Order: sequence, then C-alpha cells, then structure tokens
Amino acid sequence: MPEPLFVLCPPRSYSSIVCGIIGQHPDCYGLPELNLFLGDTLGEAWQKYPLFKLFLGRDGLLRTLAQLHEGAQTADTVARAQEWVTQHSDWPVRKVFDHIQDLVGDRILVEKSPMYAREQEYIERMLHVFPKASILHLIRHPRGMGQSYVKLRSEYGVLNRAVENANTGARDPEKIWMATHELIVAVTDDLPIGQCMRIKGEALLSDLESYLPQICEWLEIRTDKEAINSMMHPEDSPYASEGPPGAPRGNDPNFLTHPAIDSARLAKLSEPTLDGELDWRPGELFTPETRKLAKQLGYQ
Amino acid sequence: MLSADRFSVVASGGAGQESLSTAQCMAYFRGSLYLGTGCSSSIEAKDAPRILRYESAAGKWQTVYESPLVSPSRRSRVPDLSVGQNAAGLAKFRHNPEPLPRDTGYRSMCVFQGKTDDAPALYVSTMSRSGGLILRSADGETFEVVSEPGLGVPDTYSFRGLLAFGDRIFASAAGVITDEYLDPDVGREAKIYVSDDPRNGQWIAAAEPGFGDPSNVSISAVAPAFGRLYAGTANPDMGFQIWQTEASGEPPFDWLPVLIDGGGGFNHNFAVGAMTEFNGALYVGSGITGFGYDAVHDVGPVSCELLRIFPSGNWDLIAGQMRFTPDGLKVPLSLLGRGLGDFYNSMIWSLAVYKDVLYLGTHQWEAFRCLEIGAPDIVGGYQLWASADGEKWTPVIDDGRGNPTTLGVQAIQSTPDGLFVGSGNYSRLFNLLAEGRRAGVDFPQGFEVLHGC
Repeated sequence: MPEPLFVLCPPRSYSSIVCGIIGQHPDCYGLPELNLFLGDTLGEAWQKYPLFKLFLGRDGLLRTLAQLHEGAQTADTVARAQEWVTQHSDWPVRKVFDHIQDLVGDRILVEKSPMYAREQEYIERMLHVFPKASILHLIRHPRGMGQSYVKLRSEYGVLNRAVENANTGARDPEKIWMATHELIVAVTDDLPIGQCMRIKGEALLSDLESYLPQICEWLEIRTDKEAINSMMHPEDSPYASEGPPGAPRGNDPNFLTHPAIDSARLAKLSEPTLDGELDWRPGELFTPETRKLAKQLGYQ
Repeated sequence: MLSADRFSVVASGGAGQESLSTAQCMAYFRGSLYLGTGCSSSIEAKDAPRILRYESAAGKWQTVYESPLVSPSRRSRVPDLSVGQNAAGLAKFRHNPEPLPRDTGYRSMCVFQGKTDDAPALYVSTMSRSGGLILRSADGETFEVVSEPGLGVPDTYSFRGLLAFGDRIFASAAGVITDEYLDPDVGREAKIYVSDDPRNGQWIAAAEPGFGDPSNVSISAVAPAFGRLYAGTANPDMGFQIWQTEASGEPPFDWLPVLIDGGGGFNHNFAVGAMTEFNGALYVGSGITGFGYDAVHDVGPVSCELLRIFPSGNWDLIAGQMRFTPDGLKVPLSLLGRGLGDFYNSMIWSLAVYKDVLYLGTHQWEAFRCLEIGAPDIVGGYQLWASADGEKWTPVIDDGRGNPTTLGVQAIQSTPDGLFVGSGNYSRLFNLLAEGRRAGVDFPQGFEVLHGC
C-alpha cells in the first residue's frame, strides 16, 4: 500500500481546499479531518480534547467510516460508525488507518487535521506511526491566516466559545502561526530529501496549472490531463459538503459550503505585507520572530 | 579528478606571517600565481596583509606588496559585525594608538588591459577601513593605487568580483564601513562598476543599484558565461537574485533577471558566493555570509546550495532542498541536500574548473558551534569537493585538512602549473574565544595554500 500524505499547517491555511484538490487525484483518496494522532489508540484520540467533543474533532472520522463502511453518510450510518468507534477504541491508530486504507484500496490517503501541528507529540506520533509518510508543509502569510482566523471565529459563535473554553494556550493567531510553523520546520528539518515539501498556499492556488503537476511528480502519481482535471473538482469528494446529523462537519465550514474552485478568485490571490499594524491587535506589529520566520518561508 | 593525495601544501601558517588568516584571492599573471591575503584582525603593523607571488619551479613565495601603515581613525576600531556576538571578544585588540595597516586584506584580483595600459596588468581590490581601493601592477613587482577610496564612496569597504569581460573590467561594492560598525560582506547598496581605463581611475555604474531592487544589498559574485556577464546578489529579504547582461553599448547596461527569490530557497539562499561556467552551464554556489548566520539581517543559521543555470535560463538544483518552484519541481541531482549534506557548510565560496573537473570549496563553521555548546571534541573545517559531470560530487578534502578552525576555501585558481586552493583560518578568533572556556585548545594560525596537479 502507498504511504499516506499528511498536510501540516496551522488553521486557516487553505488546507481544506488543498487537501480536497489533491485528494481528488485518481490515485489519491482525500479524507476529512481524522485527528487520529492525538492519541496512541482510537479511544485516546477520541477523548483528547473537550473541543473535539463539542464541535470539530470527531465528525471527520465518523463521516469517513460511514462512507467507507456503507457507501453513504446518513444519520443512521453515522450512528453505526459511532458504534464501530466505541467497539474499536482499543485499536492503535495505525490499525485504524490500515483499516481505512484497506477500504480505500491502493490509493494515497490524504489527510490534513490542523491539530497535528499544534503539539510536538502529535507530529512525532504521526512520524512514528508512518515514518515514511509524505508531508506537505502548507504555509500562508501570517496576516492572511490571522485575518481569516479572526473572521471565522466571529462568524461561528460556537467555535469561538469552544476555542475560548478549550484552554489551548494560544488564541492569538500570530502565536498560533508562529508556534505551528516553528514546530513543523523543526520536526521535518532532518527528514530525508523530498519526504517533506513546503509550499505557499497563495502560490499553489493562484497557479494550479503549474503546481499540481509538480505535486503529482513528487508523489509519483499520474500527471496526465485527466488526472489533473479530476483534481480541479474538489467538490466531487463525498466529504465536500455538510454531513448528516451526528457528523455535520469534519472540515472547514467555509469549504463545506463552497468546495468548488473559484478560479477567478484564486487567480487574484496575493500575499499581504508583513509591515503595518495587525487587525486583531490594533497598534501592534508582527514580532521580529514572526517576521524572521515569514521571510524564511518566502513572505515579505 | 585530483584526489587528496595529489595535493601538497605550498604555504602554511600564513606563509610565515601567522596573523594572515586568509588566502583571499588569486590570479595567474606573467607566469606566476599571485595571492592576495587577508587578516581578520589587522590592528598592528605586524598584521599588515600582503600580496604574494609563488614561483612554482622554485617552490618559493615572495612578498610583492604589503599594506602601508596609517594613523588609526574611529573606523579602525568599530566592531566587525560579521562575527556577530563574538565581536565583543575582539574588543581587547581595539585600542592601539600606533599606526596600523591601511588594508585588512586583498579581496579580488584579475588581469586586464585597459585602454591606457601598455600590456595586461594585475588589478587588485583592497579591503580597507578607510574605503576600498583598486591597486594596479604592470610588472607584478610594484603596485600603485589607481582609485579613490570606495571609488568615491569611502563607506564602501571593498570590491569583490574584479573581472575582465571584453574590453572592460567590472567591480562590485562589498561591505560597508561606518563610524559605528564594519560589515565586511554586505553593503548599503548593490553597486557594480565598470571601467575601460582603470589605470586612470575612471569607473562608472554598470547598472542601477541593486538592479532596481533595493532589497538587493550587495552584488556578491560575478562571472562570465556563454558570452554574457552574470551577477549574483545578496538579498536578506527574498534571497539572492541572478542577473545577466551582454554588456554591449554604453553603460549602464541592460540587465535581465535570470533567477530570483534564491531559486525558491528564499532568504536562506541569502547570497551567491561563487559562480563559474562548466560543461555548458553556469554553476552557482550560494549560502550565507558569516558563521552560518547573518547577524546584521538576522538570517539563519542556514546551509549552502549548488545550482546550475543553462543559457536558456532553465536551471537545475544540484545540491539543496528539494522544492516546488515557478519553474517546476527541483530535485537535487546530486542527491545531496543543503550544505552538501552537512548543515555546517554555510556557503560555497569558490568554484573553479581544472582539467575538465569542477571543484568547489565550502565554508564550514562547526568548530565554533562545538565551542559554543562545550562539545568534548572540536570538529569541522572546510571541504573541497569535485565533480566530473557537475552532478555526481565527491569529497576530496574535508575537516579543514586537519584543522577545524580552517573554515573556508576562499580561493581556487586553475593555472597551467596546477590547481591552487587557498583557505581561511579562524583560529585566532577561535583561540581567543576559547580562553577561559576550555584548556588545551590552540589550533595553528594562518592560511594554507594547497597545490594540486
């Protein structure tokens, strides 16, 4: 079976659309957010954070199991997926992935739970479980990420309350951006050449024609027109819409309502500047540490 | 391909003057090798850097020029930012009222015949805290100053990349000296000058500063290839840029960008260190100045990369970080990552072709890291690599040939008499920093020159 591809990034870094695009390649299978590396076993990952119970963490796995076990995501199939999770809570997470892989077949699993990059423990577990996994380090300008993060929280009150209650330690988007990327860079720095690749989301999404074949070449999968065309339709994924009662999300809520590529909008994607005050901390600027890392990653 | 046992040491200990730490530049002139030396801390008369000539047949070095002494000024004592936090350790050297050498070294040299030169002459650029100068020698015995300090901008510390191209000579500003600090590597503006009569000190701009991009802080390397002139920059914001020109018509010339954003490595490809043409491509060594970290711009630590550019503008990554780029997926063809697989190789300082083999020399600063972390053993030192096809690379010499404080290969010169490799030795600084930290550390001082044939 092929090694999986994990997309690592902070939240609000285009990971849903990017994972959706790559996951639609005929040789790949795009998954919603599974959050499995939060624990050694399925049960441990399942119970990890109150935040996940409330809102985000479980829907992706429930939808995946419902879809793969029964070919449909309904309230009933999700309920049975929940039962399956309960019955297999002692399974190591590798065994859960292997189970999903068996159901998917000989395709690259593509997954992108942003939570993986929030704690060194999670990334290290991921690399321990899949030491040869391909990793795509997805980056977005810290200003763009921060603005998107603040906007999402304001639009989704339940998410805002969940974050406030989750005691995750970092509610400032700049701190999240910095801590996440620092961690990813540090953990992936010594991996063999080509195991971890880095890409700016803005560059990728504004020039899919140039970058999608490169990603395919890297993953050693088809680069023909038909394959690339499939990637241009993330909306065709069974997970690219709101899920059934019991598992409505499992992905970025904006992606679930607008999963198709808006080529005209993406072509206009541009990178903001590191200079100037922050929307979410009026009168303040990015810290020197953030500026240094952002420049290292190619932002100005 | 020359193996390590084909090299012999033709100069060591700074060729008799231990304070000469660097074999900085070389040229082959009138049948002999000329060597410009440098002193990392040129603050006493005995530190005066020299230009040496090597007579291969006799195996002897002769001093043909030595820096004159001048009265110290405020700028004689300002800290050297290239050594960053280590600069404080040099303070004890910096209060000497006696005359001191005008020059701290000789950065670049080339053979050129300008329109008022009767025959090809040797032109040499100085590194001087009073402003870099251009020296000229018609006979290799006597040298004269043929420029104003800094070509009219005394804050310019030096000029690198003295290069004859067609019927003109080029020089790029390198480093800046102010009343507060010295940055020997990076200047305030990326200026490149051109002259067809350097004997009379007539230099004019060959391009607008930074090729119009103010984030280019220096033009760090120039080289001819495919009948064009290529210039590589230092850029702390977005990484090096490479520009090309036919250098036709009157200066300033038309320059075109060839590669930007450090080839997608961004500012971790801070600067171009060396370029040379080989087997139909321009090979480009990049990295960062200083000890793997640019203290002035807070970039790094990072390791070097090697690229090659074809006349069409297409390019390959030879050694470095595999990446997606606007020009396609770049896989390191040598299968070597950044630093040629060694994190502490921070810069490729030199590239040269000898008998159809490409050689490169690195700057490897691991010894200073060992000191910083209190490692039980001091290891590291420059590496010399070779390749017959530009893709498969073989280490020829490593670990600074036994002295881990011999960090860099500053100059490689291919001559009819063989290949000469000049190194930079930082033991003076290292030994100073080691004082009080550890006993029994006293590495030999002074540059080495190796001769391979």
